[in-house]
Amino acid sequence: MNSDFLRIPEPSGPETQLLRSAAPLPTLSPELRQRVLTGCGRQIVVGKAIRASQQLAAVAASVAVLCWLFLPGRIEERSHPETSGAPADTLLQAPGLPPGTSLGLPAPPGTSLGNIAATDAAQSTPAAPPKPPTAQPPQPPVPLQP
Amino acid sequence: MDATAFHQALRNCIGQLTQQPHSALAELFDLTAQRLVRYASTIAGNQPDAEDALQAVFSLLARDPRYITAALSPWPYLIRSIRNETLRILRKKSRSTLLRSKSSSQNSAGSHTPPEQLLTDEIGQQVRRIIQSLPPEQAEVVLLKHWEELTFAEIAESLNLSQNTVASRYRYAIEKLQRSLEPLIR
Repeated sequence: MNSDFLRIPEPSGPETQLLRSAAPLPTLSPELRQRVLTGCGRQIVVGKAIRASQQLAAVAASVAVLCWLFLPGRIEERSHPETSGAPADTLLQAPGLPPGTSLGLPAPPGTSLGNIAATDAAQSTPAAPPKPPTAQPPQPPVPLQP
Repeated sequence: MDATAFHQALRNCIGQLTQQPHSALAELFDLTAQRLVRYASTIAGNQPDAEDALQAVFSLLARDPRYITAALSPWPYLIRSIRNETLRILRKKSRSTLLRSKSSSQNSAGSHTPPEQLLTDEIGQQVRRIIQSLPPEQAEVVLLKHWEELTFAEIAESLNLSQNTVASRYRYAIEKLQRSLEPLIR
């Protein structure tokens, strides 16, 4: 169907006048206005109550979520996470790396591997006590081959 | 009241609906009730059902006016609302009497009516009979166009149809109407 089909001229001419003049406006029932407006008054109250309850429910849900997130017990739980017996740096340790190395990330210049492990543990769990040094002494740096 | 003034007054009413709902609804009733009942009567076939539909529409507007205040064109929104409510009432009563208005065709002419008025009433009745002789879906488009003064886009939106469908229905209807109304125009 092309667009010309939609190009309908606005109604005009004598038949339009006839059609419009034949539109009867009905006489409404005498009590209709009162009945409708009384019903409207009730519905306004109902609508306000519904909207207020919806807002109240939204606020209550937000408060519940905030309480759940920031409960004192939950904050402590987050600051002292219960691990399954393994130390924090052991969990992050990748196979093939010496103990205390975290996932093969390059160490910043001037830091020893033991310091890196202690730094990682301190960053992930700030309140945890520092780990004792590992059993193996730190290896001396291997000189670069020319 | 011409169409522009009507739409402006309608927008003013709806603008006040959230601030002063009681007075705005009363004003809206005075402005639109007769036209909405007229349209609903053509669907329901009687005025009591049309008035029930009107009451249901106003109850919905009073309970939550946000939808009509958000509507881009409030008049088509009201037309669609009253159409939906009328159809809901008809479904409830399990009957469909589209465009068989008894009350509108029984327009009594009193003995004190002047002859010009009698002639106008007679022509009006003939025109309404011709409109009622159309298929209901075509008659509805004609009534929405000529009585409720909606654009074709607004009719399509109100009836949940495409503009092509509305256009074809209007074309077929107006061809039949032009043939039928020709004797009355002369």
